[in-house]
Parts: sequence; structure tokens; C-alpha cells
Amino acid sequence: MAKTWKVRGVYPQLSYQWNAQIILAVKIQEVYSWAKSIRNPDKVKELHNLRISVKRLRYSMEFFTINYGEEFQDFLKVLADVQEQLGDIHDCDVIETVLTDYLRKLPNRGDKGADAIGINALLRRYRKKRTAQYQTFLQQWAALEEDGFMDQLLRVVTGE
Amino acid sequence: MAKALIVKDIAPEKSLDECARRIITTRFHEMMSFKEGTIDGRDIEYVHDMRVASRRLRAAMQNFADCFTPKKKFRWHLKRVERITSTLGDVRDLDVLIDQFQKDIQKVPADAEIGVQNLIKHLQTEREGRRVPMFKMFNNLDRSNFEQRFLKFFEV
Repeated sequence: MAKTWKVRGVYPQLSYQWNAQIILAVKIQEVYSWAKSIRNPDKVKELHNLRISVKRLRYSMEFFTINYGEEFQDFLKVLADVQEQLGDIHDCDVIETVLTDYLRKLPNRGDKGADAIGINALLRRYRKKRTAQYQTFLQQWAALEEDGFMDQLLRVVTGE
Repeated sequence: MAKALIVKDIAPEKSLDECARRIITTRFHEMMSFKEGTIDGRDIEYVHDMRVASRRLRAAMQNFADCFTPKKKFRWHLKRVERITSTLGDVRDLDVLIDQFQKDIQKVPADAEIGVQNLIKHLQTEREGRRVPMFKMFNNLDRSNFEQRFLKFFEV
């Protein structure tokens, strides 16, 4: 998991509202630093890091909700959706690793063992699921890019 | 997943320092409220809720790190919160897998059922093993008076 980006220029004695824009702008940039990798479905680590960064942004936005108007909630909802989609993809990636490891360690190897039949059935199921979930995510991400989601959010956060 | 508790007495014009302390202590109380159910272990949602609360707390601590000195003390607390997240994560990962595969049994072909059942049994045994370090962690936190020290450091 990638480390969280260090936020500079925070002033504890200045207002909560003033500091919100400094912190959130960095969190938004952290999310978009992973964007270049998302078009490759095999970039499992990068997709995981994107999910974590989205989560960090979402939690940070939740702390600062009081500083912003109602539209802020709409941005939060979109981020919750993106996080959920990335979470579904990640779950499939974890399951793939768990099942292949388990299959490798099975004493009764080969396709004839009852255990192997069960694990292979699950593997097929989750690979199919992962492909579908990744496509859903890509479509939503493309739609957000088209709408200029990141710029809009940055404008709201910084009040520009 | 439990909703985050509302943080009282924060306002845009108040200093970040004061708001940060109120947010962090609220998130801390929220996290600790799930401890008993997590130790009990019968309802898997407690581990999940405690882990999510610990993530929210960690995010707050990282965002507001500049508000707190001495740094060494701050890092001591942050490390413990990070350990809570990761130890609970080890248990939670297996809870999710077991729950998911139990649902899958009804959807796989009949000849695949035995294999999936054996896998679930294997994961259930592993889950019990992963709860041992979790108990140890809670004991260590209690022994070091983590709760009292944390609140003393962060309270307004």
C-alpha cells in the first residue's frame, strides 16, 4: 500500500475552513496520481492504491463537510461509488490469490480431486465477475473525466 | 457499516487545532466502542466497524499531524492505531472470504460443493488462529494504558 502524501502548509492556529482547502487539494492530487494506470486491468497494485487514495480523500472530506455547502455531499456520494467499485475489483483480486495459493497447496492435485473442482469453479466465477466489475468501473471513470469531476471538486474545495 | 459519529463543537471559524482534537477524540471513542464486540467475535460486523473507525481515526491523525507535539509521542499513538487497523484487517479479510464463499456454495455446480465446503473449514481454522494476535494486541494496549494516554494527549 502506498504511503499517504504529506500535506505541507497546514497552520494549526488558522481556521478549520482555511486549512480544509490545503489538505483536501493534496488528497485530490494523490487520487489522480494513480489515474494513468487504470486503463490496464492487470495493474492490480495501482488499482489498489487508487482505492486507498480515494478512501483517504473521502474520509478527509467527511471531516471537512461542515465547511462546505450541499453540493459537497454529491461529490462525496460519487467518491463512495468509485470506492465501492474499486473495492469489488480488489475483493476479486484477493480471492484470486487466496484460491490459487490454496489450490497449489492441495495434496490431491489435478482436476479430478473434489477440492480442485470446487476451487476451479470459484476461480471461473470470480474471474468473470472481475472482468465485468472492471468494465463498470472504467465506464464510470470515463464519465467522470468527461464531466471534469476532478476540476469541479478542486474548485469547490478551494473556493476558486 | 456503522455511520461515523457526529463531531460536536466544531465550526469553520474555529482553529484547526481545536477542531482536530475534537475530531480525533470522537473517532477514538467511536473505535473503542466496538472493542467488546470485536473480542466476543460472534458478530463479524464488530471487527469491520472497529477497523473502519480506526481507518477514519488514522486519516484524521495523518491530516492533522502538524497540530501535535511532541512528535515522538504523536508517532507512538499513530503507530498503535495503525497496528489496530492491520491486526483487525487480518481477521476481517477472512471474515469476508468465509461469508462470501458460504453464499457461493448455492451458486456453484453440485460437484464443486465439497471443495468449497473444505475451503471454508480451512479458512475458519485460520481465522481462529488470526484472532490470537488480536487478543494479544488488546492485552498490550490495556497494559500500556493506551486509552487513557491517548485521550490525555489529544483532548482539548
